[in-house]
Amino acid sequence: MNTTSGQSTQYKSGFQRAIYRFSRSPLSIIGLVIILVISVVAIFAPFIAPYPKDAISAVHFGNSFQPPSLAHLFGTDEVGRDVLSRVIFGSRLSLKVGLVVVAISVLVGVPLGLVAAYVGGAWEVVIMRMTDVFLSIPPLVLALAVAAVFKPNLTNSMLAISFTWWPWYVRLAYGEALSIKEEDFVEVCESVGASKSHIMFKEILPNMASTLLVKVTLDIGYAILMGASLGFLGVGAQPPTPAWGTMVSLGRVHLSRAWWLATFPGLAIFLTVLGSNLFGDGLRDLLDVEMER
Amino acid sequence: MTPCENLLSVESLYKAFLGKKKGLSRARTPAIKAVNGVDLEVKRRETHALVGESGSGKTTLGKTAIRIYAPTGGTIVFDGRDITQLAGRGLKAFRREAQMMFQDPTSSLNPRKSVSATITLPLRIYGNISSRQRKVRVEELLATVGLPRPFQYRYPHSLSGGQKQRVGLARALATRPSLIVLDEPTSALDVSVQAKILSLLANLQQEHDLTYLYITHDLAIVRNIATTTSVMYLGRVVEQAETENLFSNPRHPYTKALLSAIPIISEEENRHKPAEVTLEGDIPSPSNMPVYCGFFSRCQEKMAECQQVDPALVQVENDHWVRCLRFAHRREEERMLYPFTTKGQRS
Amino acid sequence: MSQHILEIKHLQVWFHTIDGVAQVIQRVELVIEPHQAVGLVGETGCGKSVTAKAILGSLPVPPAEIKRGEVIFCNQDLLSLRVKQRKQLLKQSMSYIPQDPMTSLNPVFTIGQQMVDLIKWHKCANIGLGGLLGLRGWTKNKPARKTALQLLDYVNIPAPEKIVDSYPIELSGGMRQRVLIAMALVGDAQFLIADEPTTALDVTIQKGILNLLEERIEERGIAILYITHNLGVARRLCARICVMYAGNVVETGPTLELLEDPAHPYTIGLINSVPKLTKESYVGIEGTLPDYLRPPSGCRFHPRCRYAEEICRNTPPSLREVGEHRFVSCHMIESFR
Repeated sequence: MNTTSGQSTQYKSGFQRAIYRFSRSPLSIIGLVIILVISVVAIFAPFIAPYPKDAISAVHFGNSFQPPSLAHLFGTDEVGRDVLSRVIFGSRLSLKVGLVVVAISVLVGVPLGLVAAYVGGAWEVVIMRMTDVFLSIPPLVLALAVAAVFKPNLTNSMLAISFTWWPWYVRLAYGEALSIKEEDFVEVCESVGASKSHIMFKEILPNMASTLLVKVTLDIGYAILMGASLGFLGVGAQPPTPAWGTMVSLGRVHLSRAWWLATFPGLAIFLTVLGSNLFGDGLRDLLDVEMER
Repeated sequence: MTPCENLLSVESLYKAFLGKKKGLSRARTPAIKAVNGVDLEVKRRETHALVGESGSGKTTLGKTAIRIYAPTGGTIVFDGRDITQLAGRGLKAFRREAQMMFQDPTSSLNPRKSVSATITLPLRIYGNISSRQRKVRVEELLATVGLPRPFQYRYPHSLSGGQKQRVGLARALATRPSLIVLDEPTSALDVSVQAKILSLLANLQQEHDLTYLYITHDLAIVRNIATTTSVMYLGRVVEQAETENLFSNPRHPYTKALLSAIPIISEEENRHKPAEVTLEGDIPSPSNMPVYCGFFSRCQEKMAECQQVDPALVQVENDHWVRCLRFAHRREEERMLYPFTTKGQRS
Repeated sequence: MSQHILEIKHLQVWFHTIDGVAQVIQRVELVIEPHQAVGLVGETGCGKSVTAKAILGSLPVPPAEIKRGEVIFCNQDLLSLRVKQRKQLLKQSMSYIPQDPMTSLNPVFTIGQQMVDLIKWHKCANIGLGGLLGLRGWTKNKPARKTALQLLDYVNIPAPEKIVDSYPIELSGGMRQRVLIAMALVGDAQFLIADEPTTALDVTIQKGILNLLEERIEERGIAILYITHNLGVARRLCARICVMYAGNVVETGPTLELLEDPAHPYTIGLINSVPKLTKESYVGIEGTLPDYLRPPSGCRFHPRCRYAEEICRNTPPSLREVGEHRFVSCHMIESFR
């Protein structure tokens, strides 16, 4: 209920309510913490890693295959590099993959979906059918093809993943825009003479922002997983780059006698995806309730 | 009647919505003729009420008349100019002169935009005015609709229904239109709030020389605010008269049924109602209209011939038109008395 | 043993929300005689739906909390019964017509399927063992189908044979509302709660529904609590009206008397706000509904009332008899009446 006077209400603002509700869910908090930790680690990697040079190309043959110890918390790998430092630096690569893939997908996919839903007509047909085509391309196969034609490296694998990722955003934006455009306020804007692009980007888009945000949060985790998978298959980052997927692949061979080579990078992948999932779920539960208000 | 006396006039207006395509074939589900041949004149500074129930086409008519929808047939003349085929820049320029106020307070405001952003939108589209001038105008408009200044920072979710409608009105007034189409502006509001909005509308009409096309199903409101009333059924006007006349002497069976169905509060009001009429059956679907009189299926006064002819709108008195075969018969006698018969044949 | 079919005594309901405690229902007193139609009239947010839910027992108990009160139905206090007992009692004697015909029917089942479910539950037809076990398709379940058809006919639905096999989406709003009424009449309820059943309908359709309700509830001798915000509709159907404001019943009395000569300032303001065919002037009521989180002290209407005095700010009034069967909750009633 509201007063007609100008005083601000004594209610908690939407943001405060959101924080309060979010804090009620321990899993979401865990997700958020994990994501924050990994982000911090990635940003401050050179200062956190005990042996920063190991992450790049130092070799210490004498020290190879050391099990986890106080000096090397995650042990050393087959050329004596500190696994912990490499995992820490690997977080940078993973985050890069996650963010770049999602960013490209959003920037390409969302406008296309908006145009298809709002402008309709031929645009809709062309965009949606094109999307269908791209959706049918299996990401791994494409990445392998790209690796075969161009050099296999991190950048190319990121581009390959983005290539198959953006259609999902077209679909999401399309679905949301279709229902939002039926709201009266869109008709109001049309009757006032607003341009189509204004309506799409300044009126409809803000109303799907929360759904997009949830998807983005979840997708960062999945993109990282995809990047790691490609690295595992050998078509992503190449050794000696400390990408997690690559490390797991190389460490797999030695699993029986040096389990720490593959396990810790694997755990890192697991934790990151878990964190992104928990946080994304928490966000979605939060926003669902917000919608109901 | 000189043309300039009418701010808005439509002639033989049609608006049909195409059916959906069935799969890959060319066939479509039948079109919906929402507006099926309407003649209407709205005089300057009057309040013209469009009355009808669901499926009557009143909202579509209102929107088509100010070119929110493009008509599929007929002509629309606004302030002496033919706006039927307007497009592009011309259409955009016209828009500032005729605005619309919507029914649902919640969905007519963008939940992600503040009150100020909502009201500023038309200003930004039309005015080359600085942001400071825009702010002044926003505050001016808020005052006009009775909202305090700090409200410009609020978001729709923290506003009550009545407040949201006031914001909608402020936005409609932003471009200083001469005509406002009001689509059931108070039907989603409580009665005590409704009364205040109605009196606000009345005041604004005086102050700003506004003309209203008021769409509603609530005949009690119509009785109190409208100069002229048009009753619609299945996309057509079935009766049109000065409000006083319509209420004191309704001719069309549907009008009588509508009047009879108003829930009243006091005995005195009962005296203003015609005899009891209860309609059987449901309102037929606009996609499946008969070729004879559309009201036949529910009419309590039907005759055998009603199923053969589609009656035209006929004048029964000065400024009182009815679309009913019972009155078409009288045309022969009245040809002597009134020089005008069906619409569209005036000098 | 009282002969009221329903009596609500001093009902008080709070809601626990993030922003604090919303004291929605402050004090509701209500009496319904058997075979009587009583209108519960009020604007949005006055608490009439909450009251209905409290009677039906469908309030979500956290966050709602029934602080005090008694809901005496057929001589038993519903609020003190165990859930199972209450459900049993309600099943036998109380029924409900929901508000929105568009969403109150399950879209993926036919009308017949939904009605037969109810009929089975009420054991209104001799289903037989096969029917109970759901062995045969319901359409072959002759007794249940027959009962369904009878009921559809009872609510004046033309061609019930066709309707019974239709899906809700194929029916108009008026038809759906009739179906809902038919479903409410399955079983032998002696008391019906109708929650604004005609609000979403066109006015000519509404008239038909009101005529139907009037006839049928008279035939069956059902008492009804008719919730609405439309005074005209209440006048049409109800012998008594209870006016609610901000969680309180502020006035109650015989319909015609109350409408011709309202006593409570809110009722007066409400009636004055409605545009009338007589073209009398209509003004709204100043102010807005109070905030239930910080309700006004004393009488909840006092910030909007021009007769308010010191006592109105301090003490909440209660219903007092001011005439035959007329009760008003106002301190200042003597001074302006």
